[in-house]
Amino acid sequence: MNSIVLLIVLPLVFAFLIPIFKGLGKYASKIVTILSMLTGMGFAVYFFITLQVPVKAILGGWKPPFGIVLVGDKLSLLFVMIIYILAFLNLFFFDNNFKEHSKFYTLYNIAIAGTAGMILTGDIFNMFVFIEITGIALYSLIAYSGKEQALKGSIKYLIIGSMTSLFLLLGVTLAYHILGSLNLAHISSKFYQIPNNLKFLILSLIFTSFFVEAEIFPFNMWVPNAYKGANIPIAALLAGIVSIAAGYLLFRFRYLYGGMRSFGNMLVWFGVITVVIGEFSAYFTYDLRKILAFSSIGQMGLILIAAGISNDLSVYGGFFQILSHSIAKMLLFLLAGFIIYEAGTENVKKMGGFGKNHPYLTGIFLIGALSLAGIPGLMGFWGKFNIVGGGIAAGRILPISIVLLAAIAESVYLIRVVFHLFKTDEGKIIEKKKIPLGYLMVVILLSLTIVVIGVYPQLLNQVLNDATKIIMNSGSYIRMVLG
Amino acid sequence: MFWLFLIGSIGLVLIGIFGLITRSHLIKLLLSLNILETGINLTMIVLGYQNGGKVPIIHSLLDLTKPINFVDPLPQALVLTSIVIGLGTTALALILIVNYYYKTGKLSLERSENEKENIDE
Repeated sequence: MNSIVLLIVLPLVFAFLIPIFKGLGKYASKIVTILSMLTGMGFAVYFFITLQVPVKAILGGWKPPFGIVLVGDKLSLLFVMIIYILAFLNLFFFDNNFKEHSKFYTLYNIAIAGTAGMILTGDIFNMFVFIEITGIALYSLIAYSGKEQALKGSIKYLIIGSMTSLFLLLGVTLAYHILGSLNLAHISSKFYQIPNNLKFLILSLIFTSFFVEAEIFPFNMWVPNAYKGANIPIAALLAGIVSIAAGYLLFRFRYLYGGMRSFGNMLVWFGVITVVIGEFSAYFTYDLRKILAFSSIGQMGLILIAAGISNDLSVYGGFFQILSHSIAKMLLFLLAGFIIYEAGTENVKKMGGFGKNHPYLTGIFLIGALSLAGIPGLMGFWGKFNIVGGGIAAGRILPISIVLLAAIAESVYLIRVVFHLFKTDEGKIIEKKKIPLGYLMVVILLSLTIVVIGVYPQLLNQVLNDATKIIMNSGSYIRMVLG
Repeated sequence: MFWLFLIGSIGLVLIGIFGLITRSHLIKLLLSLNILETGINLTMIVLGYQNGGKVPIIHSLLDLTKPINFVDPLPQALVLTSIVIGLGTTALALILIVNYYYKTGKLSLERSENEKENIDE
């Protein structure tokens, strides 16, 4: 079955249809993009629901391990489906500084194709190519607003991103030189033959590139600039969609580092440093966009810790965390667009009065913020709960306790934002503005998802258990791809 | 020959990393990135290289009867992809740097001394 190729090809086709159709009218490129995301979403949902056994798409007739293979199993198709759904919802953004232009939609489609490719591919050189495709689209998208901060973030991201993807390439070449294969399944079936030091070197080289996409210390200095300067839909794309693909790769490569306790330890400690840096930087700033950016860093650090612990419970929690972080962060960025427009400022301290104008919208912001902070009853709680449980089961008390301390700082600064929104300043009145209907519906849909899954986490139980089994059991993956 | 090749390319990688760490001028950073890229591409070629190896093309069926010392063609194909990606990235980076220079009049990302943290830019 070769049709999962469509999930990568469709947005690419639509991307290059946009320059042709853009002359038809003001909204032509937006309509093409909506169509692209809807068809992609339809195919992804269809493939995911009808999936009985994992499928692979062999490209060009070269059987694995020789050629490129795309792998669609319960895990990768789930993630691609969620990427398409979020990418579609993200199109209902609100940003008054945004200049409608067909270039934006072309790059948006390319970025989605790249992230879908990163998830579906079973070939590590192909993964490098998809990381570069996503990267190049993102560098241009971040610089799209033309602000100084955006250009700064874009240049930093470009230099760090290209440097680390060259390291990834070196790691891939070393693996190829030693094992004679570029296929992830084939490599992981023979990876035990390599001496431990060399394994560590190859994995470190490969993971530098994942660290950039996943906003992990020390490769995350581009994050505050990029989130501060980029337009709202692009910040939401980075926080909500690219982080899914990056988190997925961190877990998928458990096939290679699964048995290595030293490498897992390193991941855990990098994650802890990232969490601490992210949460405390967010605590000391009053810039709404930067708060969300630093909180993103902190959440991704937690995902890395889950990947480093890598027992059943933490992998399950890690997937839950990836999903809940994406949904909540996308919701908060969508809301931030409207808040910044109405308040006319990005300074949290000057936003008083917004809560009075729009109490329901502020309530929805509170739901997203509390879910990020991990308050019981909301979606974000279950991810953190399972990761902490997995950490305790693995006997890593110290990293887990540091993370819990950082979570306190996180809830303080997120609730502080809501407090400032409700506060009323004397003498300063914010003019009330009308909320677009489509935007409002997307925001309500996302917040309902957070609440419903928070109350009934068993809705995701089946799906995420299947995903966890795929990650924990590399044998069946290897048999499926090579057999 | 093999070792000379390998040491040379690793040397280029190290020069590139050194430049990326120590420089702050944007064009110099980009040059370091390109040196690093050349080094890594050469390393890939080296790892597929065989001393006295031949071009991996079969001219006649007789070639298949005796063991031949072929150079591995796959790293070369990978390097081609990598070179093209590098070209695209460099072009994009130059455009971004030019825009940044027009916007700020600077060619360095460092924050100047008297620049205060202003939330509303």
